[in-house]
Amino acid sequence: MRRRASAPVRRWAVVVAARATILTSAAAIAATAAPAPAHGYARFRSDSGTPMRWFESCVFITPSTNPSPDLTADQIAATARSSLDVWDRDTLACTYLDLKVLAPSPDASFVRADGVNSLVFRQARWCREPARTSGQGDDCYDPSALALTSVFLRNRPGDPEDGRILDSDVEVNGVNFRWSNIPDGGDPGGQAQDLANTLTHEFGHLIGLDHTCYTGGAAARPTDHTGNGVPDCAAASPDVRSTTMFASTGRGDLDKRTLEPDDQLAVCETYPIANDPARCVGVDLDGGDGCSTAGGGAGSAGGLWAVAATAALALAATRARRLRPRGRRQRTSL
Amino acid sequence: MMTRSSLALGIGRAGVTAVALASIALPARGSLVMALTLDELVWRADRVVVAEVLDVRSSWDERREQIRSRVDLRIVEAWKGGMPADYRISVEETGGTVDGITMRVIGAPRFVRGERSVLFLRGPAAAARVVGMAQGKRGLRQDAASGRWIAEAAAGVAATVSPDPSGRLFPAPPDPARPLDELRAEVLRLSSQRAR
Repeated sequence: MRRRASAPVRRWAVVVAARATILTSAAAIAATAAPAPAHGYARFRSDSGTPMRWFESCVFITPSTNPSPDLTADQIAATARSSLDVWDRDTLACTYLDLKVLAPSPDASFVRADGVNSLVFRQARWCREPARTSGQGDDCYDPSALALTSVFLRNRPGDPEDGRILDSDVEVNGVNFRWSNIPDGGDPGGQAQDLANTLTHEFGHLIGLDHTCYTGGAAARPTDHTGNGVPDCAAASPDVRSTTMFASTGRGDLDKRTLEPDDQLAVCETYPIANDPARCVGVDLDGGDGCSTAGGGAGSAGGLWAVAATAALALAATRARRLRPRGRRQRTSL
Repeated sequence: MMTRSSLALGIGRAGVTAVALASIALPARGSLVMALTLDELVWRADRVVVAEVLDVRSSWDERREQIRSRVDLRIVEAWKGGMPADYRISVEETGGTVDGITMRVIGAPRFVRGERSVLFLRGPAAAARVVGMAQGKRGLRQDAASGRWIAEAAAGVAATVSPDPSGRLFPAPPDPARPLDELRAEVLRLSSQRAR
């Protein structure tokens, strides 16, 4: 079902689109300031090889209201915000990508195709929530997983939306591991994982980035942006190892909190400011672009963000309701 | 067949190993997953098998929230867990593709019909899970020259970690590709050690 934006929101979209046009020339200048790559970056791809990406200017992340044993919900939200900021246009002038953390919500406790990009701390059970009905197998995750990122995407060769990211959720294992903000003195015992370090890496996956090295095995070696295979992780140079999207971390690691030139280039080339779609609330899981409500690609103010965020949450809530079973209901066409 | 006493022993060992692992290796996958050595994979698995994928079926779950894939397998060899050849089991994984929509859990194993692999599995035979996500799957290929089956290095696995000069932990090379008969001997040896 295609949803129409209200008149004020449509007017706002026009204004923001105009601002985006004005800023396009500035974007060209900014693009020239994109960081020089050390080696390369890689992106997840659909089955046809199309690189995955969001089609919107902005992506909303909603933390769940579950706190961890060591961090309050507000601390988790603040950490998520700082971890998103490093990938965002406010930090990188070359990109239009606008990443925002919304207020914690109980709606964000689930990993599902509902349009809510959730950040969930699991602390009672390292399992899917809510649990499936009995007799349908094990719903629990592998205890060796510290954090999981799940992505929904269109995967249809030949479709203009092939590779479009529709929804992405991050779950953090608070059952088997301790989490903290280490630089804030939150890990006196030296046993915790740094949450910002992990979230910055996971948010890289959330926006469609693959690892900068190949961990071996039967899976195909990812190709970098130049078309070459990424190096083996074990043989990677220090430059590659230092990237946020390198496939390894250690306890106490803080280096992934900040981006290296390869990580920055990935954002700049995947979401270049010159190609800003000027659309903030865009994914219609029923197909098509759906709500063309928001611009936000450039120069959007906090008040406008609030409108967009409200619209996003309302839309997500509607989708969530629609996708839940209601006895005999029609199959939703995704 | 795992007895109650061996199960209890296994659970106890699980706790000890979890603590030990927490103190050492923390390499990342697509998602962030603790590295497991071959020994740990063997110990955590209820079954270690060579299996062929007969079918992969993906569907939305009952709430239409996630895509689940059911992978039907034919057992070729069972190294742990005592199953006859040709026995059928199924693996359940989150993720898959339905009607042009894909759900991908980064770091989870992926299966293709007809492929053969060594699998470290836990849980019931009707809905087993792969241990350690992609770490618990070792793809097999037949060497064209020698005709020997080779077990690939596990996808997305860094089996151990070692400190670099600055003291940071980095993955050592994953358990490398090696002939299937060598891997079989190693798994059987580790399994019998654990049983004692």
